Amino acid sequence: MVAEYSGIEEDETLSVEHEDAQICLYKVGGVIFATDNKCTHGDADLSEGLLQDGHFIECPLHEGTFDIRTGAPVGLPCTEALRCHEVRIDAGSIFLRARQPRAVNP
Amino acid sequence: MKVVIVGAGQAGAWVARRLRGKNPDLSITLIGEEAWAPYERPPLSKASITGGDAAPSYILSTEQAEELNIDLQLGTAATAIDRTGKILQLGNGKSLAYDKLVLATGGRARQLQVPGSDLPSIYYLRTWDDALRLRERLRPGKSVMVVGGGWIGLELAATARKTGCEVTLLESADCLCGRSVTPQISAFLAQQHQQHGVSVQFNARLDKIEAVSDGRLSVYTASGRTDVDIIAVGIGLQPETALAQDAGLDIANGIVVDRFGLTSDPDIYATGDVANQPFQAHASAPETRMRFESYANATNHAVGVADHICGEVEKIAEIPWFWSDQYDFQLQVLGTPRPDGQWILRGQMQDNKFCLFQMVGQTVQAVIAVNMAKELKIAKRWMKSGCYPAPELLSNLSVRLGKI
Repeated sequence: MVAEYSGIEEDETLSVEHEDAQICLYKVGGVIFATDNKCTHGDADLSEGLLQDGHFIECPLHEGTFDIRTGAPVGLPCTEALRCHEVRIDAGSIFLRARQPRAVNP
Repeated sequence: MKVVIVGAGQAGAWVARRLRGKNPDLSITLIGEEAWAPYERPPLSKASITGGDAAPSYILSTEQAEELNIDLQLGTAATAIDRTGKILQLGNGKSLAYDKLVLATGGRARQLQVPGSDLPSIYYLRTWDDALRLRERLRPGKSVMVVGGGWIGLELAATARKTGCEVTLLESADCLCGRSVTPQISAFLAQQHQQHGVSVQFNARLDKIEAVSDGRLSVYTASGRTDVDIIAVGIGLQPETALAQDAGLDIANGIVVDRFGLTSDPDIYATGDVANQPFQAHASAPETRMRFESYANATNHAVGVADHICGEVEKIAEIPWFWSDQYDFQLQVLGTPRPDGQWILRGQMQDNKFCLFQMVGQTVQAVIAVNMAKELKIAKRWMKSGCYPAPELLSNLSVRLGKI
């Protein structure tokens, strides 16, 4: 378990540790998503960023954005995908499994 | 259509990337004087000096340029523009025909103009190679004089302290970064540097520099002589306008452009640090002109120019935004602070985690945040939408600004 489901508010982020990696959890429409917490572009924690228009996290440093559902970079200057993690909710607790990175976009 | 971009810095690279993203058929050539492919400049005053990286962090590596079919010509200067024939002359004797030309020539570090300015051990910072030279010289126990209390000077001072140097900072005005932040923030910056052991000298006039034994330098100011190992200078940027000026384009503190980034020639754009753009500080302010030396501008204005080349006619109008990383804090400035208005503090300045909102009437005019990135981004949303919360909510830490 990495966090309680109730420990993260709607439209908010939460930084957690999982297998020596920093992961960012998101709750959008009651659904939990998880990606690596470090931006693939700059040295910044996405958990310090702001969720925009539902499923997009904006990096607090350079304002690049990612789709938290796929990890795909959708806003400049980010061009490399984020690693996503599979989320499982069981009895009010959040569990994670690592997923492979997506291909690099142009 | 043939697009030629002069200047392979951040802005030039983003024009090229954006053009390719929009149109697979364009012929795109990117000309750069440096030997390095386009790279990120923010780390140059920090991690590039303290770290051990052998190459900069690329925005468009040579491999990526090849993949994206962008003709990246490095180590190449552009020497003249034939506007009638629409041909760009290169320093290597070749020439390039263009349909659209983009000038992303940036600028050079402004040089000291005092006797002794040409001595060795005086360093400037603009390029990766400059950062490598500083990395070589900023060693524990060395004494460094940083000239200039602007953002580059302050970041260099913080980095020099991090590497174990003794640091003296010379500022000609009576406060730090006085042109872009409030007196309160200037005082905060001075306090941070003093707490980290920097000797900050205000109202300092540098008279001359002399070489002394062992390659050390004597720096003479009105208050006397200081001997140091190294001088690091951060006294501003000189926009690189020679090519545009020789071609007869309108020049005034950079290359003059319109809302779309077009110069006085309808087939030539300018973008990035060198572009002097129309600018309105707030809705009722008169339109003025401004050059923006920021990361956000170098990306966003470049993207706007690329979009216009592709036929989109949306004006480029971004809220100015920049940041600076020093020691353990990140300071961000959003919007253009005004002399009037009311500043509302959220958090405590002594905690190094606070946000200052400038309210003018019912609107937020500017935000200065230290280690409070999220609040600043939320304020940016308000500024874009024109809907603002009541001022008393801003200072209330129990109110989550994102939920208003």
